Amino acid sequence: MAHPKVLLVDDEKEFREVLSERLSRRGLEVDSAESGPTALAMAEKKAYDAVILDLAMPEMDGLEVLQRLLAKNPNHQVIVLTGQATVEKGVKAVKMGAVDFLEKPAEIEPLVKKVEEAHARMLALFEENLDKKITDITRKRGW
Amino acid sequence: MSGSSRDNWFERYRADSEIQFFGTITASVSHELNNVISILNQTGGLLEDLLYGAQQGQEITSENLERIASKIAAQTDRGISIIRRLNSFAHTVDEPIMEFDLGELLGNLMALCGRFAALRGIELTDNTGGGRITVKNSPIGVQQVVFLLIRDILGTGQKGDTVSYSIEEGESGTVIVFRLANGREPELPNLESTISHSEEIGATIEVIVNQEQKSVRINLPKQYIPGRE
Repeated sequence: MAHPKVLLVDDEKEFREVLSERLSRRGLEVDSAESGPTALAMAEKKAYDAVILDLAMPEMDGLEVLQRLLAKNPNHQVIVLTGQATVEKGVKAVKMGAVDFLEKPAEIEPLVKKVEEAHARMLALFEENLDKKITDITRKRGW
Repeated sequence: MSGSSRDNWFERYRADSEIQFFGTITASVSHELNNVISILNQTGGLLEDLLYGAQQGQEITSENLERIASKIAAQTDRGISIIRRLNSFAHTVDEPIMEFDLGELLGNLMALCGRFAALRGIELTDNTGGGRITVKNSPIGVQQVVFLLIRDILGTGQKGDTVSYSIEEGESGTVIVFRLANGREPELPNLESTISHSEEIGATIEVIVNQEQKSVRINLPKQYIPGRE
């Protein structure tokens, strides 16, 4: 089974490095971006099973990144990371289409579980789309 | 502080926002500290991961341990620095008027404002040159004026702008000077020059805005200037 592909977006370099390493040790394939614009450019070029997105970033706020990711592809599975006492921002992100949110400092196991759930959803979507395509083709050919 | 006029922008802000000022600064500091703790949390977790790996027969290298120890040390230093700045800030309300090192107060406040500037991609540049500069005024009043000004400048500023600050000492008092710079024509917020006096504590803070020179001067006179009705 393919390793889940994750894009980690956070402006804190040390946080990105250590979390990337921990996620990799758990079998995830991790790319990281230090800003919203970089993340958007990377998501254009590669299909990710999940995006882990910090909400408080310079240059482009996390909610704007979320909005733009989902505008390009509503199926993006985005898990947002909020600061302490900013749960309302996490709720807002979920209402905008994020699949879930976690408060920093976030524990690794719940985060990995959410990524694996996102990966399973992406696989199910892929299979559903494949089924539709096959059905279309067979119907057109009268099989 | 009682003001010369409640209609000018400075008095309007000051009357409503002293508590807000403290709230904004402490919220920003708590966010920074949470980032430090998040990194320490994950770094500790990485150590646990390596220990678990060792129990499964994987080698722990000295390079890995050194790397982790270095991360922990760096974040601990960062956390201590943040807490020191917050503590200094908290103690600026100990006395309504006092002698203090303006350079240190300004440096501390600019470090606390640094996150707001970074979020907008604007650089705050210290041109004070270091060294102790003693003034007698209201520390919280001076901080609040500077913070309100920085907040407004950041509000109209754009990514790539530079805001530099310096201190000029003269016979009559000390002046903090803020200048905007960039390749493009930067905009100062639409502020008027104003002056605030406090008879109760005997302090004056004067703000002089020069739109042509793109500068704002905060004048801290040595002598208290009585307010005019």
